[in-house]
This record gives sequence, C-alpha cells and structure tokens, in this order.
Amino acid sequence: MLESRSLATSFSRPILIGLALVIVVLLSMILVNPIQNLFSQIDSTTARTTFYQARVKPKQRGDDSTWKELAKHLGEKAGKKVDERKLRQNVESCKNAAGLGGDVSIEIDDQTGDIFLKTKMSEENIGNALDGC
Amino acid sequence: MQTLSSLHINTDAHDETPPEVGVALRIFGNDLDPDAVTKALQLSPDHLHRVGDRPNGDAKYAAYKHAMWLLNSKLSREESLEAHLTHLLSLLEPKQAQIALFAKIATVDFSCDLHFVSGFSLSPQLVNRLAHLCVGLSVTVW
Repeated sequence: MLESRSLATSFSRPILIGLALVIVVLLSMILVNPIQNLFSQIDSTTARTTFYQARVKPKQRGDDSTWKELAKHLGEKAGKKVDERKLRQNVESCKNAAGLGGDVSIEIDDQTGDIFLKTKMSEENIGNALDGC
Repeated sequence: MQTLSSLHINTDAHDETPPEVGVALRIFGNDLDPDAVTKALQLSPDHLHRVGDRPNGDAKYAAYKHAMWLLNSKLSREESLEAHLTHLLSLLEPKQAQIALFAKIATVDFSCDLHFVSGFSLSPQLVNRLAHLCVGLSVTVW
C-alpha cells in the first residue's frame, strides 16, 4: 500500500509539473496576445492622434499663436527662420489660387507645410505654406 | 469680481499683432482663357493658371479645377479692407464692361483675407460701388 502510494506520488509529480507548464504556456498564449494587441492599439491611437495634431487650422484658432507655432515648427524642420507674415501670404495665395471661398476650411501640416482641403470623401493637397502658389 | 470680468467678451483679442489685410480680384472658371483676361483688362495678373495645371508645376499637388486670373491689391497689408477695395475698384471700374462679360462665363470676386481683426465694416459708398461692378465678395477672417 505504501509502495503504491509512493509510486503514485512519484508518478504524479512530473505529471503535475508538466501540467503546470502546459497551463503556464496556455495562459501566456491567452494573455500575451491580447496585451500585445492592446499595446499596438494604444500605439496606433497615439500615432493617429499625433497625425491629427500635426494639422493646424489657423482659421479655427483665430489667434496669432497658431501662426507663430506653425512658423516655428516649419522653421525647425527646414533649418531656417520662417517669416510668419510671408507664411500667411503664402497660405492665402494657395487658397486664392484654388478658388476657395471664405467659408472653406483648410488644414496645414506643421511638419511639411502642405495645405490640405478636406472634403467629405477625400482630401486634396492644394499647395505648400513655405512655397506659396 | 473675477467671475464678473471673466464674463466679459474680449472683442480685441488680437491686440499683440497688428491687423493684416490681403485682397485680390479673382476671375476663375472652367471655360476661362486667362490670356484673354489680360488682354481685355490691360492689366498684368499676379497669378494665372489653366485647368489641369498644378501649384508650382509639382505633381504632388492637386490639379486646378478652374482656370484663374488673379490680381492682388498692391497696398500695404496694414491698410484697411476699405482702402484695399477702393484701390482695386479704382483700377477696375474703367473696365466694367469687360468684367461684366467675364462674369457671364466665370466667377468674379474680391477675395479678402483678414488677420487679427474681430470684424470689418464698409462704407455705404463702397458697398454701392461693389454692387455696381457686380463682383462678389469672399472674406476669410483667419
């Protein structure tokens, strides 16, 4: 009886260890993927947020700090000082050349200076704030 | 007291930067020949393009949907909207008949860009002159 119990114990220990390992592996498979997915979602959300934050809508802000910030950002990117007044004139020139009315909103990418006209279905790059049109 | 003052609306929010005004006459349309405008008005445009042209000839920009003839007001950007419009009107009123012809096939407007202003006002005389020339007004308050 004693022999059989010790046999059972000695037989079940590796099985228990094996089972524990299998459970750990399964748990890691079940939990790690969702966690990875969660992190990747956070990453993509952050990236998307950053992308939209990089677009400037001076018209909606209505203050000079937007133009100052835009000139600063573009200047840093281009490695030269960007004149804020010239920037405004360039944006006007592209908006005017595109035949846009005063009620049309545009967005300016603060990394490239590209000016975007957004419609319901798509967006168009109508020029660049550094170059004008 | 602080609550009371916070209720006040700041009507002069742009007091740090002086107002800037840019005004341009635009004539644009699908069937417009910009060279014909130059010839008819005897004025040199500051910008012109044809349908399908792209800004600065760069393929990364969207192609223009209209042909465009554009004349900027050459006044200082510190001048008022009224001054800019008056200046352009004095150039264009003698060409009223030609402008009326182009207005039949294209959009003709004064595109006005106002920076750091809360609003604008125009005198009755100027409004009357604008109406007489049959030119539209497109205002962007940035």
